[in-house]
Amino acid sequence: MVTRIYTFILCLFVFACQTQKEPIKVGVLHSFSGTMSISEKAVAEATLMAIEEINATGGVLGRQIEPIIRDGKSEGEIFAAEAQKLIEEDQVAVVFGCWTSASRKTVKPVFEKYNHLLFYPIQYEGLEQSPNIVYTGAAPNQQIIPAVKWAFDNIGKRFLIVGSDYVFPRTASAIMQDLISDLGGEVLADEYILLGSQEVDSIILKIKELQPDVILNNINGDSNIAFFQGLRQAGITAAQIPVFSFSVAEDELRSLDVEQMVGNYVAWNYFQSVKTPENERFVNNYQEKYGQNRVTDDPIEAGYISVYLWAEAVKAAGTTDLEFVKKKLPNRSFQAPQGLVYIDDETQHIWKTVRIGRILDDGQIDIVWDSHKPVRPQPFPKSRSRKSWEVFLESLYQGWDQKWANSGEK
Amino acid sequence: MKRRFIFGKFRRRIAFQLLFWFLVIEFPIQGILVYLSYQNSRTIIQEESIKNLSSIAERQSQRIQIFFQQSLRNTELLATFPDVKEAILYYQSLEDQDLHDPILDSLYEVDLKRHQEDFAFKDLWLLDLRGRVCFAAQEQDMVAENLRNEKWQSTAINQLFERAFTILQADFSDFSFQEGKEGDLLMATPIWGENKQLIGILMTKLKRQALNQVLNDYTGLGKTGESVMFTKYKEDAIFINDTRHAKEVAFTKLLSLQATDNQVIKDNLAGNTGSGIIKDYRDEEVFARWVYIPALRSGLMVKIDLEEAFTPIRSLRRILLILMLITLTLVIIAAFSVANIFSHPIQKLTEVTREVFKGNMDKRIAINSKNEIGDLAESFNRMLNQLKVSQGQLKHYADTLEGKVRERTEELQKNNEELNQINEELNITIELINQQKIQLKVYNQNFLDSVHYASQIQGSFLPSQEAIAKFFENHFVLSLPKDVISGDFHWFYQIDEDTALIAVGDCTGHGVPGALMSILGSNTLDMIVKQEGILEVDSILNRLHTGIKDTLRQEETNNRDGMDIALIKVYLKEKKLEFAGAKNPILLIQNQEMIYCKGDIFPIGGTQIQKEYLFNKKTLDVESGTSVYLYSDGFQDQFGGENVKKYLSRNFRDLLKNISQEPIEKQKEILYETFLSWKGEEEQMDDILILGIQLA
Repeated sequence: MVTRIYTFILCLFVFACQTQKEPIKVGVLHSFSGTMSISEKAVAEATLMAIEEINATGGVLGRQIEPIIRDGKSEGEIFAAEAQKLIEEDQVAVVFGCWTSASRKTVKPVFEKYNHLLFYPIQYEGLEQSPNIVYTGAAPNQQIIPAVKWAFDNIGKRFLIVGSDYVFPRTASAIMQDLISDLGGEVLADEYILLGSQEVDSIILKIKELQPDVILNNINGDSNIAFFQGLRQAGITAAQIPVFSFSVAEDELRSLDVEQMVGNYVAWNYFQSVKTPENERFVNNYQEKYGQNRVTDDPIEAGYISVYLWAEAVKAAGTTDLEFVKKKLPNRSFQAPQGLVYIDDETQHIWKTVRIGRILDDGQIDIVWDSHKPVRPQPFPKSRSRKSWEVFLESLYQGWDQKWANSGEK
Repeated sequence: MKRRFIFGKFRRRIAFQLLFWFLVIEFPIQGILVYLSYQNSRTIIQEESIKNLSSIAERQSQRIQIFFQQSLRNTELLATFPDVKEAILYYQSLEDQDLHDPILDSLYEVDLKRHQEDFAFKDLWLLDLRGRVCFAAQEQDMVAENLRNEKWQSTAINQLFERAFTILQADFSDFSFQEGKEGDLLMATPIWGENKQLIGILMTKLKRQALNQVLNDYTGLGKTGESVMFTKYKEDAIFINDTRHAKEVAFTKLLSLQATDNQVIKDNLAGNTGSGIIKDYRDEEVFARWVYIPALRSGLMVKIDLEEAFTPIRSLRRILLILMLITLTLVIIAAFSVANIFSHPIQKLTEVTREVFKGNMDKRIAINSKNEIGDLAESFNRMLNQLKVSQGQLKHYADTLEGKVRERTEELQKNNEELNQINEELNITIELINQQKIQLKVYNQNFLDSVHYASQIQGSFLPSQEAIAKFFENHFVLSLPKDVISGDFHWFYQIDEDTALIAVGDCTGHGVPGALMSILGSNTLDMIVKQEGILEVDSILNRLHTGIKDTLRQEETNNRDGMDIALIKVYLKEKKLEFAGAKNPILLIQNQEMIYCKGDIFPIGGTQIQKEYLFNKKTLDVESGTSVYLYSDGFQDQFGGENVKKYLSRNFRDLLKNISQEPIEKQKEILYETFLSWKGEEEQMDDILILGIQLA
């Protein structure tokens, strides 16, 4: 009888130990192939580094974090299918992922259907606020608006907008056009190429023809290589027409001809050159892990801080149960490499410092303007009403055959 | 010494012993209960306090954020007022010196100041897009100041202007500190013109009193609770509001973030939220909850003094102490009461016992308790009664016993006299026995003398040493009779110079009968060889057998005496030896080898009654130096040694073999010494005769 009791207690103990040791599965959903892999791989790596760091300090709630990695293959539908697998099959506690707004908008219904949680790490066009998404990238007022305004004040008032033909560049362009109009500037043209397309000739031709003061570049992925090569071939330099890019950061610069890029502008919340002790540690760890030739940038940092913000919420909730974790997300803060970030209790976006930088010949960014303190996120620019923005988005969606990107079939 | 005596006395008292054990049992249990209940209450109060403070901090934080958001919205709202838009358009067109012109400046002054008062702002500024302050409702010295000038670079006001100008949304400044002025919090928002174009920036300044009003709501914070807001100022933290305990600290009191006690504030200003027991700026221990307000980059701490929070605990502690004292008193009373129940009857018992000890058996215990002590007293009284009865009986027994002892003593005296008489008679008998003993000694001496004489007679029958030595130069005869005269004998007859007969016989019995038989044997042998001329050893024994039987008339009588005998005939020249034996053997040691020749199994005379039995003759070749031994069985049958066993035939033969190389006289000595050593204190069993010859 005594032996049975001891066996029972032993079983309980083993069960308790096993339960305690069971890792927390989290999804990492990015493009490891296709046009967006050039950018997304590094974000996934930063996400995994944060997981590794947290695991090294004992994990969360005494449990290790186990990343389940899935490839969205730069296709919105694949992102949605993989998101569903992560939630249904892998039973993950949270998903960190997506880059393009097209992919985010495709997976959004999946997360809302399962009442799950996605940490989205990229600056985007705004016009969205889902209780199932934490937006750790910049809202328009934290990147697009200050960048355009700064360009208007400091570079010139005649703008030409280029972009990939999907929801972010189109919306960003609309916001930019509204703002430029309000400021009394001029948008000479807005030109688009298909996502992943290398066909930039018509755009280059347009630029040469219109000679804008500033090019606002919303092109995403490796199309940027073709775009900047086209500019160089056309003899357009940054000194003549500076390009203000919204989806090119330090990591993308590695794939581009930096010499050609010097003098162009970027707007982000984080640059590798930010001087904080947290950033110094972050850059060192990243380069130690992935190579001294690697660089950090805004999406990489956003991917990194997403994991920490989620972990802080889990710690505060004392469980991975999403119902409780979501309640602990508002006002959750983290001393990030860029400085303090903070989840806004109204919008589930984060307070971030706005920074505008000029590209240097070493591929790093010289900060020419910053907001000096985190700026409250405003996902819906005030140039139009919320309803007008929704109508705008719907028209894009319907125009692309109920997709969030132009597939080029028409 | 005295103390020890008193203590020892106390230790012997039941009351103190009971008190001690009551306290040993009661004190730890009550102590643990009090401790647990105190700790439990403390934890509950702590949790409740933190919970309460959390909700107050949450409420305060929300109120502050609402207050600031409302202020910000008011600023945004103000920027949409047509007179504000007109004012900025008007003022921005003026040159710096015109801005100070009382007439030109006063155009919108009344309206703008009214707006400032309506919205309860401390000040209201209009800035053109170059960063120039075109209008200031209160601080006139700010008019025409350009916030983009070097003087204002990196100040909170400059940063606020640049943010509003670039991000185009309403925002707060960090808390601004200008020398000689109290710190301020400003808000800025873009002013959009009628055609949606940016025309200027509106800045408003918050009234500190308004903030104090929000923060100095002490609902739920008791008498010592308060809310304190901090923000970072250079390397320190600075108070933003006046507090309950510190009236004039806003924007003046600094707390070093390097100090250990201020690490919580440092942590709070780094964006973290938390709660716990800490030491506040007054060095008082407080329960505190701290939250971060990102819009203001400030920390808010809601706290209450530990002493006040733990007031219920102190009451509880007092109650518990009183309860402990009451319990202690009750325990002491209980100990003494219980002790009294036991010790009073015990004292009575002791008194009675002392009386009994003195011999007073009539004393009794008067206890009427109907409990175990009553039973004990009754039993004790009953025991005393019984003791008294027993004492009487004992006295009676003592008296009776004295008479009996006297009777017994007389009886013993009588018996003693009878014994003395018997003793005298015994002495007479012993005297008689002693006389007879002397007489017997005389008889015995006479007998011994006769035996010794018989021994001499027997000796004369035996062959002389000289006669044997003539033929056997090296020989010995070891004769050890059990008594003076022996039943063993040896016999020798020299036939010629080269031939001789020699025998050793062992007659039945020993002493006188044995000696008679040996004489008979020796005599008969002489007769056979000398008179009848029979010289063959087997024939001699055959004839000896019949001779003995005839002499003793054994066929007619029951006489069964006889003898065992070994007879050899030695041919010196021929180096030959003939042997015949009646039961007795001979032993030859030749070239270190032992030759053991057994005799026939029949004795001479005695039980061997068949006339026709013939003894056998054995012929052996011998060499010069061969030792020949003839012997009776006396030596080998002797008991002795450590385990009192027979010496045994085998051991005897081995002894003879071992000594055979020794000189012949030495052999005799060794045999004699060995026998004495073996026999030890044991009685000799039989006559012994050993005859050894070493052939030349």
